[in-house]
Amino acid sequence: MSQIPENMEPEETSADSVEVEQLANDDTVADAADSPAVEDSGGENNPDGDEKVTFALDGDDTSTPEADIARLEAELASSHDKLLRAVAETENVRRRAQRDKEDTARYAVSNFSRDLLSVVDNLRRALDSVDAETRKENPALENLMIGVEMTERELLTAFERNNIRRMETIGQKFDPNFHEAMFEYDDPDQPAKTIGQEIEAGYMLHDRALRPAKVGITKGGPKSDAAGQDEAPVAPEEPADSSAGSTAYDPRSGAPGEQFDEEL
Amino acid sequence: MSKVIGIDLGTTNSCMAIMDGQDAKVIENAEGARTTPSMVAFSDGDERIVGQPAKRQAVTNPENTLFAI
Repeated sequence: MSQIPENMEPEETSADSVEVEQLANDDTVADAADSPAVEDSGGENNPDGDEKVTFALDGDDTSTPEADIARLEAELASSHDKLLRAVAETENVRRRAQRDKEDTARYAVSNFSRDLLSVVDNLRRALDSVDAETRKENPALENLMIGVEMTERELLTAFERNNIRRMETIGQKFDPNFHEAMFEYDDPDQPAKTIGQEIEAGYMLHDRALRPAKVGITKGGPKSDAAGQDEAPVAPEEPADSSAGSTAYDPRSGAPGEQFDEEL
Repeated sequence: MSKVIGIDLGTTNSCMAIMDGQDAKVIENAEGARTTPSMVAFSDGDERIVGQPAKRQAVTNPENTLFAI
C-alpha cells in the first residue's frame, strides 16, 4: 500500500490526528471524521460499498445518509430503552412509596402499644396476687380488685379496637414466627414441639407479632405433621391488602393469619 | 438503571439499605424491624428459618441453629 505512517496503529483514539496527517500526506481515501470503526483506516483504499464502517467519498467529512440513518436509529433505540426503564423506575418508586405509606399507617401504633403491653402484664399480675378468699374477707380490697379488673378489661377492649390481640398459645404447635421458646421439657403425651406452658403472653397487631409469646414447649412426644389443623378454629385472615403491595421481601404475608386463635 | 442494594452482613445482626435517589434508605424486614439477627436454623421438616424466628427457636434446636459466623 501507499505510505503508512510508522505510528499508525488501528486504534480509535489517535485516529483523528492520524487522519489529519493522512489527509495532509496522502490524498487517497480518508475516513470520515465521525466514523466509529477505524480499524481499516489509514492508507487503504476502501470501497464505498462497505457498510460496517462509514467511509466518505472524496475525502469530505459529511457522512452518507445511510450512515446517518443507521446512527440515528441506534440512538433512537437506546433512548427508547432508557425511557422505558425510567418509566418503570418511576412506577416502582410510586408503588413502593404507596406501600410504605400504608404500612406506616397500619403499624403506626406498634412502638407505643408494645410499651403498653407491660402495663397489661402488671394489671394481670396484680389481680393474680390476691386469692379469692382474701378478697371475700375484705370488702375494701374486693372493691379495689373489681376496679383493677375493670381497668384491665377496658385496656384490652381498647387494644381490640386497634387490632391488637392476645395470642392463644397453649396447645398450639410452636411457630418461631410468633413464639419464643424459653425451654423444653419432657411430655410424651403431647406431640413434640407443642406449647405446654406460657411464661409471657404474646400479642398480635394485625398480622404481625407485636410481641412474641414466651413459652415452654414439649419434647419426647410423637412428631406431628399437621400444624394446627385439628386445633381450635383459626381466626379469619386479614383482608389481603397487605399482600397486594407485597414484594420480594415479604413472602409470608398470607401464612401468619392461620396460626393464632382469636378470642371472641 | 439497576437498583443497588447494600447489605451489612454482620456477625450478630444484619441490615439492608437501598439508594432512594440521593439517600440511603434502610429497609425493614417482614416483621417490621430494621435489623435482623444473623442466624439461620434448619428445622425438622427441612425447613430453613432465618432471622428473628431462628433466634426464637434456638433453645429447642441447638444442633441445627447457626450464628456468630
